Amino acid sequence: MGELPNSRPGGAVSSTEREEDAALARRAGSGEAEAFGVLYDRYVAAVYRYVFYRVRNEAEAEDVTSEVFMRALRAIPRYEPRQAFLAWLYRIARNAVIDRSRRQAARQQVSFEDALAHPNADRVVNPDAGLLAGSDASVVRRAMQQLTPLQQEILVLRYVEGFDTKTISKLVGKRDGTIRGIEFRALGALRALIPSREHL
Amino acid sequence: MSDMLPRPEPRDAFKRALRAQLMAQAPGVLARRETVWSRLQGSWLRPAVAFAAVALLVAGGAGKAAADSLPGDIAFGLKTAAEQVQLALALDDTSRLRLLSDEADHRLAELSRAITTRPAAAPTATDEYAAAVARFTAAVDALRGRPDTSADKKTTAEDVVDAAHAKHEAVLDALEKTAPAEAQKGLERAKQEADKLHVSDRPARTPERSDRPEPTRSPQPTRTAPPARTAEPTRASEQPRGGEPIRTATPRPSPSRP
Repeated sequence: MGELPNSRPGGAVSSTEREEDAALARRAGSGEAEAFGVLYDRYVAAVYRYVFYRVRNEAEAEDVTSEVFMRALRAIPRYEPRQAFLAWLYRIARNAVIDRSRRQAARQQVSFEDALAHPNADRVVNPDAGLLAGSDASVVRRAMQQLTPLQQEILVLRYVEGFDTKTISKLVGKRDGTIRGIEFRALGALRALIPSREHL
Repeated sequence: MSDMLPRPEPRDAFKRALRAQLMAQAPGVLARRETVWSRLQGSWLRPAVAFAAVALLVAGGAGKAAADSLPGDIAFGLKTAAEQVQLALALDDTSRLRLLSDEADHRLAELSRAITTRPAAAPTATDEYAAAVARFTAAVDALRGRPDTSADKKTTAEDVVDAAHAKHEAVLDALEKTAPAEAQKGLERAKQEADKLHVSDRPARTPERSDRPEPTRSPQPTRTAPPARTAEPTRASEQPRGGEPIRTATPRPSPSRP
């Protein structure tokens, strides 16, 4: 699958922004609170969106977003600039989402293998057909919560943030081809889950 | 609707309140960390420790050699001995955890160097890395499991290990892309060890991880969703893209202010 036809411009973090982020993070790590504030202003919306589709509702999205930035504040003295700041935040967010999901006894997260075991799993079709088109976002969100955390992450970065797979590979720390494979399987699993569970 | 999902934006009130909370807490959180060395300021122990450290290195005559050594080298023992001295001098559990985290960082750096410059040393370096991670995680688990450990200490311990996990994962992922094929197996093992640093992946020795107070909830400008909201998730697709997508029939109380 190639680049998204409607990829949002400016989705990727430029090298200049990355250098600025690293400088701000260094200043924040050495005690300059306002530098952290600038980083917060820059990325709070991205973190919120990253979380939004992976939790049940917007109140949880706000809770997790708060937790992510509180964790980031405490951890920033140890931030390693060789990793993009946004990727570092996403990593914290990923852990926060996982931690929350484990605390929620009522919530059951099935693995990709479980998703494939679904009776309708053989409906996997070409993801280029536009699985998300015409689907209610809340329905998609509920279905996404049954994917693995990595599948969720990649779909959000791809279909909410509009990153291309090359950028996602840098953010997630996996090879481009691996990202494409995970995306393909995630879309397939979603396709199996949405019509059967939501009767679309 | 295109094949993209709507891009929900956080509420302005939420963003402002969270920013205010972060800025209020930042001075305390970002305050210069107290080190063992700074704790010894003014103490008779400080010159004694300095003397002992210098004597150790000079007597060995291998300060730089020790610093540059890799696991398996003779001088490596000197380096780890110095680390043991530091650990023995740790004044509290938190300092000890940070030292163990630093030790794991050092072993990771050595592993990285071994893989790129001296592959023959990589297996030993991997063993040393695994041992350092095990010591670190054992200390974290022990601290979390002790009934007299305060919630603040538990939170600090989890922050230290979370930060280490993120860092190690990033370093190993980067290394994986450049390491020669023969090193990939060892790297895979190192990554498995690094995964053990994710505090949530290991059951705490405490009865329930969820028993710990959520460190960021109380001071945050957000609150648990009321049941009605939980039962009726917002339909994001009903919201205009780029606008404020989060609106429900339930009036949303203003976030608490710092």
